Amino acid sequence: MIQLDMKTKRPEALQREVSPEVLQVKNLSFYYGSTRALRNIDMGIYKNRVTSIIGPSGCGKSTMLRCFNRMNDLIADTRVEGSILLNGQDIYAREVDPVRLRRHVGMVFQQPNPFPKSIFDNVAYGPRMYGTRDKSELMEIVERSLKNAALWNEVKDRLHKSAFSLSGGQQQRLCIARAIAVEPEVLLMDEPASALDPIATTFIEDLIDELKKNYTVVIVTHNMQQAGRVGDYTAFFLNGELEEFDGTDKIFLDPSSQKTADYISGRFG
Amino acid sequence: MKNMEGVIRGTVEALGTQKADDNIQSERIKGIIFQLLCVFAALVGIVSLAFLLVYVLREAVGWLDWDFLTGRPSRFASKAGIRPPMLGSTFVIALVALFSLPLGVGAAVYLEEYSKQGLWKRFVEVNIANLAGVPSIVYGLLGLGLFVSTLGLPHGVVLVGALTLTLRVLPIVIVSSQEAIKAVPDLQRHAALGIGATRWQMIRTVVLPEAVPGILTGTIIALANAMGETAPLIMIGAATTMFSAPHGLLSSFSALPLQIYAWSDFPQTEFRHGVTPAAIVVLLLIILSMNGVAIYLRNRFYQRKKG
Amino acid sequence: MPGRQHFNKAMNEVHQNVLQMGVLVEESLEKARRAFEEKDLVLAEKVISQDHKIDEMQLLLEDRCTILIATEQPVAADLRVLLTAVKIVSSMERMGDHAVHLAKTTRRTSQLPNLDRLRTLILPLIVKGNDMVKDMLTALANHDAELARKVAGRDDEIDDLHRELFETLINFQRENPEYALQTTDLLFLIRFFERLCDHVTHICEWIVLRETGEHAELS
Ligand SMILES: Nc1ncnc2c1ncn2[C@@H]1O[C@H](COP(=O)(O)OP(=O)(O)O)[C@@H](O)[C@H]1O
Ligand SMILES: [Mg+2]
Repeated sequence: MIQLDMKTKRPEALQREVSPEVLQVKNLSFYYGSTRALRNIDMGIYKNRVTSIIGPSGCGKSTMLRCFNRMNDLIADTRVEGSILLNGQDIYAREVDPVRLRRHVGMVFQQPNPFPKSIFDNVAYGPRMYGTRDKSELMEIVERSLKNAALWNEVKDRLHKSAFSLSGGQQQRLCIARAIAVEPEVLLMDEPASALDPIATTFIEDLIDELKKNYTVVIVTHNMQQAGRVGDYTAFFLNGELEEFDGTDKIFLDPSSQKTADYISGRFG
Repeated sequence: MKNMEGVIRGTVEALGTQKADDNIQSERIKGIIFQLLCVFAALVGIVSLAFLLVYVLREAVGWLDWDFLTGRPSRFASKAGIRPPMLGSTFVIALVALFSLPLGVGAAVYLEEYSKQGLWKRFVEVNIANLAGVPSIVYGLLGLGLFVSTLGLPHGVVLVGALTLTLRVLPIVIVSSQEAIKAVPDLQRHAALGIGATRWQMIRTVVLPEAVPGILTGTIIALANAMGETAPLIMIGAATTMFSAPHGLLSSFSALPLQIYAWSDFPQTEFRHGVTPAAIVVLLLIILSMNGVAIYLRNRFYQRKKG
Repeated sequence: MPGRQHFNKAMNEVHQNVLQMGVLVEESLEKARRAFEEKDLVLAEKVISQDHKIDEMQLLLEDRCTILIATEQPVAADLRVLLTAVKIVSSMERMGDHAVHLAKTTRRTSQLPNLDRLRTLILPLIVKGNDMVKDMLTALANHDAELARKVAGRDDEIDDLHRELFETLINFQRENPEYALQTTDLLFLIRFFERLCDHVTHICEWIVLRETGEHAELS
């Protein structure tokens, strides 16, 4: 009989999910000063799945994403309530070192941001920082990461050229290679394709589909079609609240909330 | 379709005709006048520098030779040389670089990367900005009071000169280092922190490498200024004329500007219209080439950024 | 590297699954034909009991296409493939029902020797119908719009055959009123096989639409 792949999950996807939750968000609220940017969020991020976060501008998507690796700690005067568990451990617990956390939960940003170094040095940056010095070992890591980021064939002859000599789409894949070179468990991506042209976007989307074999991916996108294409799960945020969270198919075929329906069908506002 | 062509033709006709209330032409003339004023302003600087160079070069010709560079000061114009003050200046400025770079960069890194935005940071920054505007003679007084009277160091020695000039350039080094550090995009900081760099790792591997050209540019220009400083050195009792180059931190020294100052006061015309201009040319060459290095560094930096 | 690998794979799977469903329907029709010809009641029961597989496959494929349309925003050829797939599987499901009908008719008529002559007369209609199904599947598998057009052209032949059989059955019924019930059954059967060929024709039209983007009125 027909084998359905993950993408074509029937509704009640969440109940049927067999994959464990890598991250569990429990009653999370987030404050910038006195303004609450996130309210009582509860959701799970499942292992080896792609979870998309969608919603209108300013609804808290990036804030949520930055909570997962405590990048928000870098912003002055912010506060977290509730908890996020990474494999059962609260990442906001006092004994957790955010630097160590970020080695498990990597991040790719909206604007491609390679260092002004060679392609090789960009990918080797993390491993070197973690203490790998051996040349051949570094080479191995660089090659593997670039292959996993679907960039190897395009750059293998010019690893020692500046990263700025690459196109925008290639730079973004380089940043993905740099992030996975340190083998994180979870890869966070904040609108990774929004600065790219459609072809480069397609490459990134294909890549995300490949990446989920080895990593758990959370991607913020303001483009709901993209969420439809890449996400196994979709979380719809609205005004700092999690309006709906379910399998992408369920969200796109039969959302439970009228607001979700309005948003994904472009009837918002 | 026909209609459309009519509209287009009408527009073309209107663009060709000059209407009475049309002010484009007069605005354009104003623009040209402004442009000319700007060109004039730029020319004032260039022309005066060129004039100065031509003036001193004409008088220096014939005096500026190898013996002049390697000789010692003398009562006789034909025998006078500038080796001791030139080495004195070089020694002092090298020490100033050595002192001011770590202090200045350290302070800038602290202000930009560690200190929280707030009253304290504002207070420190305002003070640094004020220090940069203090007249240099005041630094001379400060050096005298601090290093000679309080710390008991001897008058007019290399170390005191270098420390005093360090105070003089430090605010400039700090501010220009701060600017260079600020110019490193936050995206790159986040890239490093996002893959688990500590703050110090991020500063060391991302911020400083990118800021170094900017820091060096600012520092070299500040050092070039210090090279020409006269007043603070007089205040701390540096000699105007020395017959030997300094051989240690605590030996007396003279500096090029001091020697020039002394010679310009000599009654003989050979000194005023020969030796002094020749020394000025040497000083200018040193300062201009330091600025040249700064410009070169800046250009290289921007080219690398473009990839 | 062609883009949208995930989507390409999914599209390919849809095509394969539609073919698989077509093969199931073809097998079911073929078994029903053999049961009818050889009076094999066991085989007829098998056809009846296996029909649910075809129904399930239709549901799954329809869901699958709907989800792909909702989440992947297909356009141009991709959109035609998905929309025609939905139509093709719903026709195929009906064809499966006709196989069941043939099996049930076999169950009710095979034990009556007096009907043997009629059954022999009807058999060519069934064979011709099944042949059309086979050729239609070939066109579907090979993306062959030309073949699809040819297959659809054979519909007229079936219509003629159906009209002839109809006359024969009506006459038989008039002469043998005691078999009124069974002849009605057989009348329905030939009617259903005429319908079956209409479904094949429709599928052929959708194949042409899918492959060329042209609407073809083939019936
Ligand atoms: N650094 C910040 N300081 C203060 N408020 C912020 C900051 N970043 C975001 N916000 C506010 O938090 C809300 C959510 O922002 P964000 O998470 O960036 O939304 P999104 O990514 O969905 O567009 C917005 O109202 C925004 O103004
Ligand atoms: Mg955002």
